[in-house]
Amino acid sequence: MTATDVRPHPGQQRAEGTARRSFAYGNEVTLLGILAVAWVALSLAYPTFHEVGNIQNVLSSIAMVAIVGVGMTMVILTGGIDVSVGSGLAVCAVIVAKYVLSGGSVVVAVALGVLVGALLGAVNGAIVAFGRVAPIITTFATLNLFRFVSLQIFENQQVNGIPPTLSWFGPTGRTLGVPNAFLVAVLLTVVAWWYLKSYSTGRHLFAIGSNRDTALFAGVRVARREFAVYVVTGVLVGLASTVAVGSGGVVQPNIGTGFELQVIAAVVIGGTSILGGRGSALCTLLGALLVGTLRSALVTMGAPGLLTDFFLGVFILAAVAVDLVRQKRRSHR
Amino acid sequence: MSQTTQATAPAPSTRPAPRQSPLQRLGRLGRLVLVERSILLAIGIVIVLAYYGQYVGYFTVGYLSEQLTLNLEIGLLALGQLVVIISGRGAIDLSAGAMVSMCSMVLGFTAGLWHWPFWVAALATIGAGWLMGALNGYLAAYVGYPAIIVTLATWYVWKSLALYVHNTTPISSELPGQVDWLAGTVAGIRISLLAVWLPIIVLTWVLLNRTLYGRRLYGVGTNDIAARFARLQVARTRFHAFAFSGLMAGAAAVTVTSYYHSARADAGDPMVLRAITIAVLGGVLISGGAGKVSGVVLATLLVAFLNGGLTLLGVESQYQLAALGLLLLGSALLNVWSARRFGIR
Repeated sequence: MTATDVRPHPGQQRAEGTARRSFAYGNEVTLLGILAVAWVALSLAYPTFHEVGNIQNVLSSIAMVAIVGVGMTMVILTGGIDVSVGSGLAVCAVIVAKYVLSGGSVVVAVALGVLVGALLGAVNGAIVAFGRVAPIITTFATLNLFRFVSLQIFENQQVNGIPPTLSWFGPTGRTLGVPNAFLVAVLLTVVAWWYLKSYSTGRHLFAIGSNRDTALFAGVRVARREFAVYVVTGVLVGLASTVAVGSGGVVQPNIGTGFELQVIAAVVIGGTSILGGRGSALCTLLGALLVGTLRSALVTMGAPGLLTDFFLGVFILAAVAVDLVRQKRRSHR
Repeated sequence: MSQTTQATAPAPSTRPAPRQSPLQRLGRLGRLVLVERSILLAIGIVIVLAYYGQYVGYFTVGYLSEQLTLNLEIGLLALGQLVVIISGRGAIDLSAGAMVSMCSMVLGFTAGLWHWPFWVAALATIGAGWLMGALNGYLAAYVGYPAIIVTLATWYVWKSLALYVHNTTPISSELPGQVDWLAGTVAGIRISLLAVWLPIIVLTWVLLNRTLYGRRLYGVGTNDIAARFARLQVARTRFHAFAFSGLMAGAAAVTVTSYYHSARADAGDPMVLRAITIAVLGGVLISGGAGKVSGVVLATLLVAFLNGGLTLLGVESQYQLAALGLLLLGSALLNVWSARRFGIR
């Protein structure tokens, strides 16, 4: 594995009482502050921005990012990365779409998506955890492999006329005006936050990310944990695919291209350290909200659609810069 | 220790060499093949050439050099990846393909729309590549960003900007005829192979093996903390590694644009996977500090000839994508396994 963890970083000094301090961290507060300022500023400048319809659109558009972001947070906590989620989404979505098209039921469709996602995640996890290949190499290879698999199933043409079987997950499925998919994302985030905070296996993820060798010596079953986080990410990708198919209609073969960038952006903008060992699922949800706000703001302000990825990339760089400054300040203390 | 070896040194003539069982000899051969990646790749090339040689039109200078030309840019980018990956700490340049796209648009604008002389435009393109690589290097080496996140971000930044600057349309008809110069042939071999690829291979080899910088690079990549204590300029060495990858992207943009006589915003899209696959297949360890020019060049030849064979048999490019992904996984597993088995870094 890569020797990326030689630099002592603050995660190691925060061994005791981390669970409590993760809130005292201030990340959540900062992010909420930025979000509030952005929303107020945008609403004042563009009256259409704070209309209920637009807020609902933003919430439902970030649901997929937030759902997969929960898994990605765990992967990045262990010091890994998964760039194959976009292609994985395509595989799951085309299978679910074709199944729904053939008249399948909701429960089986969701189960199918989750199962296929878990399988794809297991491929990544097995190669990273047991084959000890660097995560970026593994998932970069599977990014292309999964895309190939999805194109084979698509047979190079879009899937048309999908019935709205899964509309509960789609943009029109709402409870008390809030998109259901967003509620699912919130629920998953809270579960993940609780798990990472209170379960020993959850704490192990932080240990692995801080220092893999030390975690190994401390008796953490490192390979098993690493395998598990990739499988969890796969499961969530499968779940997100039901959201993608949700509204019915058409699924294009290029679905999910660049999705990984949005998810990784949400995670690092949320302040999870890309070096591993530090981060929070709650922050990722706020990061996803910020990404969604940014995209919506760009559309509202009339920025060219081609430049969305440009701003997303710049945003990631800025977010990581903030994290780096914070780390430097703490290691000098 | 040294005394005993000196004492026994003259002895071997009287004592017969220890007999090896055939199995031991096979084991040593296997070890050699796995440790010296060049041998494995050379065997691979011979097998590929011998296998496809049975098909008419494959084993000719024209066809094989054509295949090399098609993979020339990827070969250049793979050399860039080699230098970046050697620099260590999990460094990798995911943005190389996007830099090619952006540089291609730079050449399209300067040579095509602004009518700069071709050589000036080409130099400007390579300069633009250096700048983009230098940005990666500055952020990764001096500011301390993890290389993965920098190059992932700049990948999308350049990709999106390249699509935006000319509104996704390629610049073709405006390009001057001079641009085609590199696409001409000498004795059936493309000029770009002789005038660009070969010199760059030699230069990279000299850079890595015969200059102070090369030694520093391997040192920094092997252990950057030890390198800092040895007063090597760690950040500067890394910075130049990324800038080198940018230079390669600039050069690749010039050749690909002249080959297709068209500056395209998606020129570099499929190149990153291939370049990284070739680097890993060539035995470059992702943990840094290890990797050879010979391995990368032979891996380029192997992939080029293999692709050529598949194309000749009419295999769709989609399957070639899948084959590359599998090849990347396979060679990464092989690298990890042989490094653990034989203790090479």
